[in-house]
Amino acid sequence: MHEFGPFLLVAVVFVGLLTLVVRVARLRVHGDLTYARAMGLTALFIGVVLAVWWFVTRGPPTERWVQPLILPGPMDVLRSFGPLHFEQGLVRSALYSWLRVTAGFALAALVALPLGIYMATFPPVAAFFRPLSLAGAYVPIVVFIPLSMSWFGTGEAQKIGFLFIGCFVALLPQVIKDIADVPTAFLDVAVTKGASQWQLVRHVLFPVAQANIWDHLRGVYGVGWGWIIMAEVVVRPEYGLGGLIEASERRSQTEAIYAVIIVIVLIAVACDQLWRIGGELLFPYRRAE
Amino acid sequence: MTTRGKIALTIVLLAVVGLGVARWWDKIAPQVRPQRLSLNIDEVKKLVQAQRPDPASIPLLIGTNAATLVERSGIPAVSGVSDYSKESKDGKLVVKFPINVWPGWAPIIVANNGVEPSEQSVFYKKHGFYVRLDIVDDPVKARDLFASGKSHVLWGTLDMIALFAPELVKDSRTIPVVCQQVDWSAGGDGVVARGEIRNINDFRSAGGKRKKVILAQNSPSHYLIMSLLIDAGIDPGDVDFKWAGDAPSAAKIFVTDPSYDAFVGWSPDIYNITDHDKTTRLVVTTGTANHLIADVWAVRNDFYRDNPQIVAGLVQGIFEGMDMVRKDPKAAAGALAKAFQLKEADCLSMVGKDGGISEGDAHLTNYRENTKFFLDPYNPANFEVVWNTASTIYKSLGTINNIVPPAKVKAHAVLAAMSDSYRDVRDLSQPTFRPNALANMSAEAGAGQVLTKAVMVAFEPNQSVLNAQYDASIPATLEEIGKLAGKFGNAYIIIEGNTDASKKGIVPTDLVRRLSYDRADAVRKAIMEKYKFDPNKFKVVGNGWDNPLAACTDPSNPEHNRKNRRVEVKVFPLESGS
Repeated sequence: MHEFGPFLLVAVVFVGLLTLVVRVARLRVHGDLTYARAMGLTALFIGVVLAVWWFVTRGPPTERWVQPLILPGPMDVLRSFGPLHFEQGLVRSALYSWLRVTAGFALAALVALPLGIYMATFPPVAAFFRPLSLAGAYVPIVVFIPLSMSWFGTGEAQKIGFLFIGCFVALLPQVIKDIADVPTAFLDVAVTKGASQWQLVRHVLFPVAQANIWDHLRGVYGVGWGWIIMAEVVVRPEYGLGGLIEASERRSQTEAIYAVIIVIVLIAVACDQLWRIGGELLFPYRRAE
Repeated sequence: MTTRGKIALTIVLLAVVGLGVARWWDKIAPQVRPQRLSLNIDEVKKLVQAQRPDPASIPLLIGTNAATLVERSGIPAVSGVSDYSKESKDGKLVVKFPINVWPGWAPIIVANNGVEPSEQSVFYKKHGFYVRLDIVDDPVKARDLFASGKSHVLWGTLDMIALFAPELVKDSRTIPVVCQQVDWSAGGDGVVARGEIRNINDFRSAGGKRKKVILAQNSPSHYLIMSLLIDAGIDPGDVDFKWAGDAPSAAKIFVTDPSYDAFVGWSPDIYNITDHDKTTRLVVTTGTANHLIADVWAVRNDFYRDNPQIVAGLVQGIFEGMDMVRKDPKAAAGALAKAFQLKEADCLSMVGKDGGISEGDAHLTNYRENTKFFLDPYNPANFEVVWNTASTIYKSLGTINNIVPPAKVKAHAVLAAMSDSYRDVRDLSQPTFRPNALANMSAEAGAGQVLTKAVMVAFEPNQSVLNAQYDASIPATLEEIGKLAGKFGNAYIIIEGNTDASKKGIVPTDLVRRLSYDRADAVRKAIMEKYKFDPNKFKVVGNGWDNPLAACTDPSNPEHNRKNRRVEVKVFPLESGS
């Protein structure tokens, strides 16, 4: 337990200092903040991270705080984009990985959405598939690497299949919860007006829950990106961001690993913003709330 | 702007961007530069030759020169402040020594009385320091621990350390100073194939179809197959390599997907698979190629400078642990089972009932074998040979950019300094070769054969004397054959002499056969003289003109004749002689 102590100390000091700042600076609840100042503060955080990064990796290897093999400097990472782009097919890899994640996610959504809706609506379906929603998300995802291999072979189908499983088990419980959260008042009204059982599903439960489901789809899509490395490890594809990381590891090219991770994060954030915009277009009433 | 206008504008913009992307796709997304998988084998051989250290630069341990050897070291001095874990227990340093699940670590586990720092360990009782053995199976993680100073020691096969070295030597503190060989992989690694592949030469593509092989890239498996392919004269570009995450997953992929012709992996996978699936077979293991993959450990250069006593204590403690393993292999298997959380029976088969001599996955290397590895320039399977071969392979593949000279990482002084204490230790790594073991075997049938290496040795007409003035490549060729014989320590070597058939009908067949025998025998004698192998290891065959190359059967074609005047070196596993 003695190794837990320092962590606890740091956590307590951090929270304490933050509370002190909040109280001393007399911040107002939901106070106004101009767009420029908000962006400025965000930029400040990024700046601090970059500065710390630069500081601990400056100087020749013997004087650095952190070994370049563990954490290369920001400039090293920037420079590694050249060879990654011109020699190792970075853009193509990004495209292929994006296609894999999107395909796996789309398949998972295709199955998990109806299944989740029916499970939340019809008790016999729920009872039958309960293990999937109850335990599925807790099965360590690594066991699906060999399993997906025996189910889908060792080609592209395995990678998409693995991402499908990962997204599916994450998505299913959330869809069920979204439908279950629909207030019964809506159903009562519809029943009084003579709605059939199918109409309850089609015109009440799903439309009420769809905005929340959208948010959860957005979250799970982001999670899918986190599994791209595991998906591409079985038989390394010619193009793929996860494969690029794998290949760079044993060649001791740590800066390339960080560069690829930056690309993964950027793509995931960009996709997340598209989801947000899509949500605003599809459910304009939510913004009014 | 109306909604319709917005939509139209969006479509136009998307079309323009789309067209631009399509037009300049190869600029925006360049393809992977073709991997330099295809190697010019002669080029690689030349590079290995060029890397060959002058024997005089490797100190030879003989009798009384141990003291002077200690002075000579090519390891660069450390600059900067030492930067490794200073964890201590009761005021005594705890050496952080990561290991992987491998029987080669049985001696240190036994000597340390388990993986935790212990007062009952040889290291504490005799040398006054603690050792913590952490199981770190992933070599990349082990390297990162070592580079960050969280561990003092880097475990690894020498080929892996050669792969990591170019990055590690950039900081003088993290130079991996290789101190001791703990074992030779002896059956622990191997190549398993299905279908028509019976030996390494069968990996050559046939009918335009390349053999599909799965393995972990940049791993001992990679080094094993590359080294074997080069010996058999096969361009690795002629093989369709696919990369798995690690050796166990390569085995799983091979079993799952029958489109793979072979995989390179570890024990017990290589044995389990060939036992259960009779359509698969072991092509070669390190049981035959038993001087190819060396397990060693290295310390950080700053630690090496600061703590010479501890480094010497580690080496001596491991040798002592080796004796303990040999004395009681069962107890050693029990200790391994506890450390690795495996079944005791599995651990016993890993270590071997004889304590890692000829059974088990590895041959534990004692002091004498270590000095042969570190301090014998005439050993065709010594440190420099393994290091330079691995480095050259990885450099030719474009994996590393430069080769670290072996002298920069080899700590021969540690072993040299203790020569007096181990005067009576004998070399146990060589099997007993039975005389005439191969007498009844027809070499042409190729039963059980592992690999054939064809070399050109030009002789003066009707002469059977090796003349380096006549064929300048003879010394290099002899060295190549010597290295092959050294690498395959557990194998019989057949040297076959062949002639062209241009004098067919003019000269009696027996005479030609006699000549080709004498020529092959001249090669054998030269190798024996240079490397001191067991004489029973070799067999000489004179084929005369009876065994032309398949594609060179026209006796009137001078090019065919040139190719047929060759010596073939064939490798047979020990079992085939019984």
